[in-house]
Amino acid sequence: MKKGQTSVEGIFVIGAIFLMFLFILGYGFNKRIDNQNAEKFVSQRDTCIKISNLIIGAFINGNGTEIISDSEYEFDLLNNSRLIGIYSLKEKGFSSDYAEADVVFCTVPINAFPSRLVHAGEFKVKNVGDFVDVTYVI
Amino acid sequence: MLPMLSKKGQVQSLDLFISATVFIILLITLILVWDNFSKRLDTKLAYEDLSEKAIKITDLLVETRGVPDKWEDDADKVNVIGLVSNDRVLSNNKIEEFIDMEYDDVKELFNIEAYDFYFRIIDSNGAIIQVDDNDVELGNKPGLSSKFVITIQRIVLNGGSEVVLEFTLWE
Repeated sequence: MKKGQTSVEGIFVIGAIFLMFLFILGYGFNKRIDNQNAEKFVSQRDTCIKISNLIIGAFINGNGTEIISDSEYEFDLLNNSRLIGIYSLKEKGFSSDYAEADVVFCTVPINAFPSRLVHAGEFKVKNVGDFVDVTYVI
Repeated sequence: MLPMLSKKGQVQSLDLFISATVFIILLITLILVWDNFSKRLDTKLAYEDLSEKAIKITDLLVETRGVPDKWEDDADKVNVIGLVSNDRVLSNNKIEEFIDMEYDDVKELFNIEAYDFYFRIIDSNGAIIQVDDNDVELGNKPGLSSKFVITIQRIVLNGGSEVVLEFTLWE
Protein backbone atom coordinates (compact mmCIF):
# COMPACT_ATOMS: atom_id res chain seq x y z
CA MET A 1 0.00 0.00 0.00
CA LYS A 2 1.35 3.36 -0.99
CA LYS A 3 1.58 6.10 1.62
CA GLY A 4 -1.15 8.79 1.40
CA GLN A 5 -3.60 6.55 -0.44
CA THR A 6 -7.19 6.60 0.73
CA SER A 7 -8.94 3.30 1.14
CA VAL A 8 -12.36 2.57 -0.36
CA GLU A 9 -13.84 2.52 3.18
CA GLY A 10 -12.40 5.97 3.80
CA ILE A 11 -14.05 7.38 0.70
CA PHE A 12 -17.30 5.68 1.66
CA VAL A 13 -17.20 7.17 5.18
CA ILE A 14 -16.41 10.67 3.90
CA GLY A 15 -19.25 10.34 1.37
CA ALA A 16 -21.70 9.21 4.05
CA ILE A 17 -20.72 12.08 6.37
CA PHE A 18 -21.03 14.55 3.49
CA LEU A 19 -24.53 13.25 2.65
CA MET A 20 -25.57 13.41 6.29
CA PHE A 21 -24.47 17.03 6.60
CA LEU A 22 -26.23 17.84 3.36
CA PHE A 23 -29.43 16.36 4.82
CA ILE A 24 -29.03 18.34 8.07
CA LEU A 25 -28.42 21.51 6.09
CA GLY A 26 -31.57 20.96 4.01
CA TYR A 27 -33.65 20.07 7.05
CA GLY A 28 -32.37 23.07 9.01
CA PHE A 29 -33.08 25.38 6.08
CA ASN A 30 -36.65 24.06 5.80
CA LYS A 31 -37.21 24.47 9.52
CA ARG A 32 -35.89 28.00 9.39
CA ILE A 33 -38.45 28.89 6.72
CA ASP A 34 -41.17 27.14 8.78
CA ASN A 35 -40.20 29.14 11.86
CA GLN A 36 -40.21 32.43 9.95
CA ASN A 37 -43.68 31.63 8.56
CA ALA A 38 -44.97 30.64 12.01
CA GLU A 39 -43.57 33.86 13.51
CA LYS A 40 -45.29 35.93 10.82
CA PHE A 41 -48.55 34.03 11.27
CA VAL A 42 -48.53 34.50 15.06
CA SER A 43 -47.81 38.22 14.69
CA GLN A 44 -50.68 38.69 12.18
CA ARG A 45 -52.99 36.59 14.36
CA ASP A 46 -52.15 38.72 17.44
CA THR A 47 -53.03 41.87 15.50
CA CYS A 48 -56.29 40.26 14.35
CA ILE A 49 -57.31 39.28 17.89
CA LYS A 50 -56.38 42.74 19.15
CA ILE A 51 -58.63 44.44 16.56
CA SER A 52 -61.44 41.97 17.22
CA ASN A 53 -61.17 42.68 20.97
CA LEU A 54 -61.26 46.42 20.34
CA ILE A 55 -64.42 46.12 18.25
CA ILE A 56 -66.14 43.96 20.87
CA GLY A 57 -64.89 46.23 23.66
CA ALA A 58 -66.26 49.34 21.96
CA PHE A 59 -69.57 47.58 21.27
CA ILE A 60 -70.00 46.36 24.86
CA ASN A 61 -69.04 49.68 26.42
CA GLY A 62 -71.83 51.38 24.53
CA ASN A 63 -72.55 54.46 22.51
CA GLY A 64 -69.75 57.04 22.40
CA THR A 65 -66.90 54.67 23.29
CA GLU A 66 -63.80 55.69 21.38
CA ILE A 67 -60.50 53.83 21.24
CA ILE A 68 -57.34 54.81 19.36
CA SER A 69 -54.93 52.01 18.55
CA ASP A 70 -52.47 51.01 15.87
CA SER A 71 -51.81 48.13 13.54
CA GLU A 72 -48.55 47.00 12.03
CA TYR A 73 -50.44 45.47 9.10
CA GLU A 74 -53.07 46.47 6.57
CA PHE A 75 -56.40 44.87 7.45
CA ASP A 76 -59.83 44.23 5.99
CA LEU A 77 -63.10 44.28 7.91
CA LEU A 78 -65.79 42.00 6.50
CA ASN A 79 -69.07 42.52 8.34
CA ASN A 80 -71.19 40.06 6.34
CA SER A 81 -68.95 37.15 7.20
CA ARG A 82 -68.06 38.67 10.61
CA LEU A 83 -64.38 38.39 9.86
CA ILE A 84 -61.21 40.43 10.08
CA GLY A 85 -58.46 39.69 7.59
CA ILE A 86 -54.92 40.78 8.34
CA TYR A 87 -52.67 41.15 5.29
CA SER A 88 -48.95 40.52 5.50
CA LEU A 89 -48.48 44.00 4.01
CA LYS A 90 -47.07 46.65 6.31
CA GLU A 91 -47.89 49.59 4.07
CA LYS A 92 -50.46 50.63 1.50
CA GLY A 93 -50.05 48.68 -1.74
CA PHE A 94 -51.63 48.10 -5.14
CA SER A 95 -54.59 45.74 -5.47
CA SER A 96 -52.25 43.05 -6.85
CA ASP A 97 -50.17 43.29 -3.65
CA TYR A 98 -53.26 42.57 -1.55
CA ALA A 99 -54.17 39.64 -3.79
CA GLU A 100 -50.72 38.11 -3.40
CA ALA A 101 -50.30 38.83 0.33
CA ASP A 102 -50.77 36.19 3.04
CA VAL A 103 -53.99 36.80 4.95
CA VAL A 104 -54.77 35.63 8.47
CA PHE A 105 -58.44 35.70 9.45
CA CYS A 106 -60.14 35.81 12.82
CA THR A 107 -63.80 36.06 13.70
CA VAL A 108 -65.92 38.68 15.45
CA PRO A 109 -69.24 37.51 16.93
CA ILE A 110 -71.04 40.69 15.80
CA ASN A 111 -71.65 42.33 12.43
CA ALA A 112 -72.20 45.89 13.67
CA PHE A 113 -69.06 47.26 12.03
CA PRO A 114 -68.30 48.46 8.49
CA SER A 115 -66.77 46.46 5.65
CA ARG A 116 -63.62 48.32 4.71
CA LEU A 117 -59.90 48.21 4.21
CA VAL A 118 -57.95 49.96 6.97
CA HIS A 119 -54.33 50.94 6.40
CA ALA A 120 -51.44 50.09 8.67
CA GLY A 121 -50.80 52.68 11.36
CA GLU A 122 -53.11 54.45 13.77
CA PHE A 123 -56.82 53.75 13.61
CA LYS A 124 -59.88 54.77 15.60
CA VAL A 125 -62.66 52.50 16.84
CA LYS A 126 -65.83 54.34 17.79
CA ASN A 127 -69.23 53.13 18.90
CA VAL A 128 -71.91 55.27 17.25
CA GLY A 129 -75.36 54.06 18.29
CA ASP A 130 -74.29 50.42 18.72
CA PHE A 131 -72.46 50.46 15.40
CA VAL A 132 -68.68 50.23 15.72
CA ASP A 133 -66.96 52.42 13.15
CA VAL A 134 -63.31 51.69 12.41
CA THR A 135 -61.37 54.40 10.58
CA TYR A 136 -57.77 55.04 9.63
CA VAL A 137 -56.29 58.05 11.44
CA ILE A 138 -54.31 60.22 9.01
CA MET B 1 0.55 -18.78 8.25
CA LEU B 2 -1.41 -15.64 7.54
CA PRO B 3 0.51 -12.58 6.45
CA MET B 4 0.69 -9.77 9.05
CA LEU B 5 -1.74 -6.96 8.19
CA SER B 6 -0.61 -3.39 8.56
CA LYS B 7 -2.73 -1.34 11.03
CA LYS B 8 -1.74 1.94 9.41
CA GLY B 9 -4.69 3.90 7.92
CA GLN B 10 -7.29 1.36 9.11
CA VAL B 11 -10.59 2.72 10.26
CA GLN B 12 -11.52 1.50 13.71
CA SER B 13 -14.85 0.06 12.62
CA LEU B 14 -16.28 -0.43 16.13
CA ASP B 15 -15.56 3.19 17.12
CA LEU B 16 -17.00 4.41 13.86
CA PHE B 17 -20.11 2.30 14.29
CA ILE B 18 -20.70 3.57 17.86
CA SER B 19 -20.18 7.23 16.98
CA ALA B 20 -22.38 6.97 13.89
CA THR B 21 -25.15 5.32 15.95
CA VAL B 22 -24.98 8.02 18.62
CA PHE B 23 -25.03 10.70 15.95
CA ILE B 24 -28.06 9.20 14.18
CA ILE B 25 -29.94 8.80 17.48
CA LEU B 26 -29.27 12.46 18.33
CA LEU B 27 -30.36 13.56 14.88
CA ILE B 28 -33.63 11.60 15.06
CA THR B 29 -34.31 12.98 18.57
CA LEU B 30 -33.75 16.51 17.32
CA ILE B 31 -36.14 16.00 14.40
CA LEU B 32 -38.82 14.48 16.66
CA VAL B 33 -38.51 17.29 19.23
CA TRP B 34 -38.74 19.87 16.48
CA ASP B 35 -41.85 18.27 14.97
CA ASN B 36 -43.44 17.91 18.41
CA PHE B 37 -42.86 21.59 19.04
CA SER B 38 -44.78 22.50 15.86
CA LYS B 39 -47.67 20.23 16.86
CA ARG B 40 -47.78 21.75 20.34
CA LEU B 41 -47.83 25.24 18.88
CA ASP B 42 -50.76 24.30 16.62
CA THR B 43 -52.66 22.81 19.56
CA LYS B 44 -51.99 25.87 21.72
CA LEU B 45 -53.20 28.22 18.97
CA ALA B 46 -56.36 26.17 18.39
CA TYR B 47 -57.13 26.13 22.13
CA GLU B 48 -56.48 29.88 22.47
CA ASP B 49 -58.72 30.51 19.48
CA LEU B 50 -61.55 28.58 21.11
CA SER B 51 -61.10 30.35 24.48
CA GLU B 52 -61.01 33.76 22.86
CA LYS B 53 -64.26 33.07 20.95
CA ALA B 54 -66.02 31.70 24.04
CA ILE B 55 -65.00 34.72 26.16
CA LYS B 56 -66.20 37.21 23.54
CA ILE B 57 -69.54 35.42 23.14
CA THR B 58 -70.21 35.33 26.89
CA ASP B 59 -69.23 39.02 27.10
CA LEU B 60 -71.86 39.80 24.49
CA LEU B 61 -74.49 37.67 26.20
CA VAL B 62 -74.10 39.14 29.70
CA GLU B 63 -73.10 42.71 28.92
CA THR B 64 -75.26 43.76 25.98
CA ARG B 65 -78.95 43.91 25.16
CA GLY B 66 -78.28 42.78 21.59
CA VAL B 67 -79.01 44.44 18.28
CA PRO B 68 -81.70 45.54 17.72
CA ASP B 69 -82.26 46.52 21.34
CA LYS B 70 -85.55 44.65 21.54
CA TRP B 71 -84.62 41.78 19.27
CA GLU B 72 -86.80 39.43 21.33
CA ASP B 73 -89.89 41.04 19.76
CA ASP B 74 -88.82 39.63 16.38
CA ALA B 75 -86.03 37.10 16.77
CA ASP B 76 -85.78 36.63 12.98
CA LYS B 77 -84.30 40.10 12.69
CA VAL B 78 -81.64 39.71 15.36
CA ASN B 79 -78.12 40.80 14.39
CA VAL B 80 -76.38 40.45 17.74
CA ILE B 81 -77.67 38.33 20.59
CA GLY B 82 -77.57 39.83 24.08
CA LEU B 83 -79.46 38.39 27.06
CA VAL B 84 -79.57 41.26 29.54
CA SER B 85 -81.79 44.26 30.13
CA ASN B 86 -79.03 46.01 32.07
CA ASP B 87 -75.40 45.07 32.63
CA ARG B 88 -75.43 41.48 33.99
CA VAL B 89 -79.17 41.57 34.75
CA LEU B 90 -80.86 38.87 32.69
CA SER B 91 -84.03 39.50 30.73
CA ASN B 92 -86.43 36.54 30.82
CA ASN B 93 -88.00 37.53 27.50
CA LYS B 94 -84.62 37.50 25.76
CA ILE B 95 -83.70 34.15 27.34
CA GLU B 96 -87.02 32.66 26.29
CA GLU B 97 -86.47 33.72 22.69
CA PHE B 98 -82.85 32.62 22.75
CA ILE B 99 -83.53 29.04 23.86
CA ASP B 100 -86.24 28.78 21.20
CA MET B 101 -83.81 29.72 18.44
CA GLU B 102 -82.42 27.16 15.99
CA TYR B 103 -79.03 25.79 17.01
CA ASP B 104 -77.49 26.42 13.57
CA ASP B 105 -78.85 29.98 13.42
CA VAL B 106 -77.19 30.77 16.74
CA LYS B 107 -73.91 29.28 15.52
CA GLU B 108 -74.10 31.44 12.43
CA LEU B 109 -74.80 34.59 14.45
CA PHE B 110 -71.84 33.91 16.72
CA ASN B 111 -69.72 32.92 13.72
CA ILE B 112 -68.79 29.57 15.25
CA GLU B 113 -70.00 27.28 12.47
CA ALA B 114 -66.84 25.21 12.77
CA TYR B 115 -67.55 24.37 16.42
CA ASP B 116 -70.35 23.17 18.66
CA PHE B 117 -71.67 24.80 21.78
CA TYR B 118 -73.74 24.11 24.87
CA PHE B 119 -75.40 26.90 26.81
CA ARG B 120 -77.20 26.75 30.15
CA ILE B 121 -78.01 28.87 33.17
CA ILE B 122 -77.73 27.20 36.56
CA ASP B 123 -78.59 28.27 40.08
CA SER B 124 -76.31 28.12 43.13
CA ASN B 125 -77.15 24.38 43.57
CA GLY B 126 -76.09 23.57 40.01
CA ALA B 127 -79.67 22.96 38.80
CA ILE B 128 -80.72 24.36 35.44
CA ILE B 129 -83.09 27.28 35.99
CA GLN B 130 -86.44 27.48 34.24
CA VAL B 131 -88.08 30.31 32.36
CA ASP B 132 -91.74 29.90 31.50
CA ASP B 133 -91.54 26.18 32.50
CA ASN B 134 -88.67 25.55 30.08
CA ASP B 135 -85.14 24.59 31.10
CA VAL B 136 -82.71 27.31 30.13
CA GLU B 137 -80.32 25.31 27.98
CA LEU B 138 -79.44 25.19 24.30
CA GLY B 139 -77.04 23.24 22.11
CA ASN B 140 -75.11 19.99 22.28
CA LYS B 141 -73.04 18.80 25.21
CA PRO B 142 -69.43 17.85 24.46
CA GLY B 143 -68.61 14.15 24.44
CA LEU B 144 -65.58 12.18 25.55
CA SER B 145 -64.22 12.27 22.02
CA SER B 146 -64.28 16.09 21.85
CA LYS B 147 -60.86 17.42 20.93
CA PHE B 148 -61.03 20.78 22.71
CA VAL B 149 -63.59 21.92 25.27
CA ILE B 150 -63.71 25.32 26.92
CA THR B 151 -66.38 26.41 29.39
CA ILE B 152 -66.85 30.01 30.48
CA GLN B 153 -68.98 30.79 33.52
CA ARG B 154 -70.33 34.24 34.31
CA ILE B 155 -72.27 35.24 37.41
CA VAL B 156 -75.38 37.24 36.55
CA LEU B 157 -78.58 38.37 38.22
CA ASN B 158 -81.92 36.80 37.48
CA GLY B 159 -84.92 38.14 39.38
CA GLY B 160 -82.69 39.47 42.14
CA SER B 161 -80.79 36.23 42.76
CA GLU B 162 -77.36 35.26 41.49
CA VAL B 163 -77.21 32.57 38.82
CA VAL B 164 -74.40 31.25 36.63
CA LEU B 165 -74.49 31.60 32.86
CA GLU B 166 -72.39 28.82 31.37
CA PHE B 167 -71.22 28.69 27.78
CA THR B 168 -69.27 25.69 26.51
CA LEU B 169 -67.56 25.83 23.14
CA TRP B 170 -66.08 22.61 21.81
CA GLU B 171 -64.61 20.95 18.77
